[in-house]
Amino acid sequence: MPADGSTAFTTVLSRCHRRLRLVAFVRHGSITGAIALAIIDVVLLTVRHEGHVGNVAVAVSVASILLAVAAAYTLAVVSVPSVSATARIVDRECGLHDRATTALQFLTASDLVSRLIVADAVYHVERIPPSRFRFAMPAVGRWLGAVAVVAFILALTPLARSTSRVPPLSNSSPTTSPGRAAEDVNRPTRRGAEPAVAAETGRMAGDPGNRAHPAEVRSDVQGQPVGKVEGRLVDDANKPTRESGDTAGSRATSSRPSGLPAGRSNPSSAETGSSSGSQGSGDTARGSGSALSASGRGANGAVAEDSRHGGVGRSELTSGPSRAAEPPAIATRHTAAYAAAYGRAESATRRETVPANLRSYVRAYFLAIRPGQ
Amino acid sequence: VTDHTIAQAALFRDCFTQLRTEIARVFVGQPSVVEQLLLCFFCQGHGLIEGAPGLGKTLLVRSLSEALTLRFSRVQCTPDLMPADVTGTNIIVDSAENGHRFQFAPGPIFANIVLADEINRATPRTQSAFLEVMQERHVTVFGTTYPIAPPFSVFATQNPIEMEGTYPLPEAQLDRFFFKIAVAVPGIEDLADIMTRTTGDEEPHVTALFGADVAQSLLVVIRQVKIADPVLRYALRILHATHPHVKDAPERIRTYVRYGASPRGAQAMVLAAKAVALLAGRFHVSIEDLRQVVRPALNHRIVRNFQAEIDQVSAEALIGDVLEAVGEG
Repeated sequence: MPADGSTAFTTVLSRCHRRLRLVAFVRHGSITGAIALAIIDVVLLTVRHEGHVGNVAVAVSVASILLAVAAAYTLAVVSVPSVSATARIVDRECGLHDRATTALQFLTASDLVSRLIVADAVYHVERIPPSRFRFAMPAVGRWLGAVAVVAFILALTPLARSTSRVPPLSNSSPTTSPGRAAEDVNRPTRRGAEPAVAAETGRMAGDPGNRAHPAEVRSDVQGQPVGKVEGRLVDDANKPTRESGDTAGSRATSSRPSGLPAGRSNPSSAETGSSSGSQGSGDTARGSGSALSASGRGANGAVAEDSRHGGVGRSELTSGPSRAAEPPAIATRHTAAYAAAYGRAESATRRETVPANLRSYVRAYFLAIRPGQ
Repeated sequence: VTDHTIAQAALFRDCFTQLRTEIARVFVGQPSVVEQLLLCFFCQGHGLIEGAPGLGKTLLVRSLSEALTLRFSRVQCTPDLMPADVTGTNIIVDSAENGHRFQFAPGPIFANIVLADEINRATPRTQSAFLEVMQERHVTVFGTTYPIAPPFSVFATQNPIEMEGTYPLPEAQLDRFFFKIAVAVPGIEDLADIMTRTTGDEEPHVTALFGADVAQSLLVVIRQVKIADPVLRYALRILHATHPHVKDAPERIRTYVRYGASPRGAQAMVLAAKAVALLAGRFHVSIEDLRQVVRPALNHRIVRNFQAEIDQVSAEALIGDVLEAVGEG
């Protein structure tokens, strides 16, 4: 057989062979990809439970994707049809009446009819576009993929919601450049009176008037749930703060009388105050409150008190625009700067940029500089 | 050489088409019957034509011989027909120079196309005389062998209804036939056409198209067609599945078949598929070609059991099961 005939046939058949390998890759990839997605779902659910995306979670997700690709490729290589099987598939799929199969067998024959057969096969096979072999997912892959995608969306949605609680950097006021933010945040701290952070926190937390609608207070501050974010950060910062929480609780109890008048001066506004404070108050009152709830309370309480000292009713901070028109610009700016800086801090902590043993210091810092101090 | 082969293939297609058209002038309808007859002839096989009386079985074979201008002979088989009446025998010839001597007088079997009409009415002894010639393509009389010139095809007819006074062909003899061609009752339209043609003042005649030499040259090109191993194995899988003791046999084959098709069945399938491929303009056999010729090649080779007779399960239906079981390849 002349080399050109056999070479031409081998070339045109190898195009189909490559395409079939790709089809096999996609077919297996649909299954392995769905499995990888399922693994990522589990990781997302774990992240949602723990409240932060750790390096391990990212590593597991990336590894599962890479493994899925590798597994699909391996399966495709293993299960890809042989050249003779490819010829049979080409014949069957394209209605070639066994031209390719016969040509493959008589490729090396030198008789006249064999040459005619090979030439005829080349003529027909080279007119077949490789796209003729369509990508098709097996039924198992389709169902598995659909379930995994739905689970992925479900797992992602709450995570996005919880992530959206963190004040984005773009949301911050014009003072969000690190230097200015720090400056602005520090200023009221220096200016403010000296009540202890925990005492302040405890007082506000202990205020029974603060038992409702935490979200409203948070949204007043930055349009974001600051107290909750802080709570998560401090919770990450972990257990050593429990002690301070307890302390804060006890101090809050002792200092409640001084805080109460302010809290009760406007019961309606107090009711619209920090609910995390109210929850935390229960914890601290029992002496088992976590630092999370204590600090959450503290932040919200501080905001509320700051507003009060600033001459703005808490109800104005927490309620509609008609009341919000009055707050002094400086207080709003400080609160916004604080929230922005706080958001960055939490983000850094979530990314584990902040070492675990330093998180308590971060927490303490933010408690110290919160507006109203 | 290339041009010659391609030209032979083209000539085969042309001749086949012309013959089909020419025979169709006198044998109305049933193009598949005509095609099977021609395949049988060009593959140098013998055909068993089965059908009720008056369906044109004899006319069909006669038309073929007339269109090919070949030597044609007809033997009307009866119970008193002797083998010598078929093969020929030595007779005493009296001449002035040599005196009395034996001289071989060839029988009607010495022809290119032989019609053995109602072969199942001949005795087994006479039938065996036919079948020996069909297989060996020569005749031995008194120790002398006389070859039969190609092309040579025997077309036997039999009536499936009237079995009184007949000697059904044994399986071994049935196996010698390349195809079993079933002639069905024509439809209304075909019957109307037959009436018009045969009751008018002018009867249609077959025109002679070409001679034995052309026919002989066309026989060679069929065997040049190639068949790939997977396609050949497909044919063998079909054959294998007709046997009831085989694992892959369909359920009805196990129930109703006593013995499956012989290797001659596979030979017939492959050879006929080669001719079909050539007609389709290919030099290789495809699975579709095989499936096209499975029924005529195997339906007389599957030996059904008594249960199949009771349940009226035909060999045709069993072949359908086999094809379904084997799949598309």
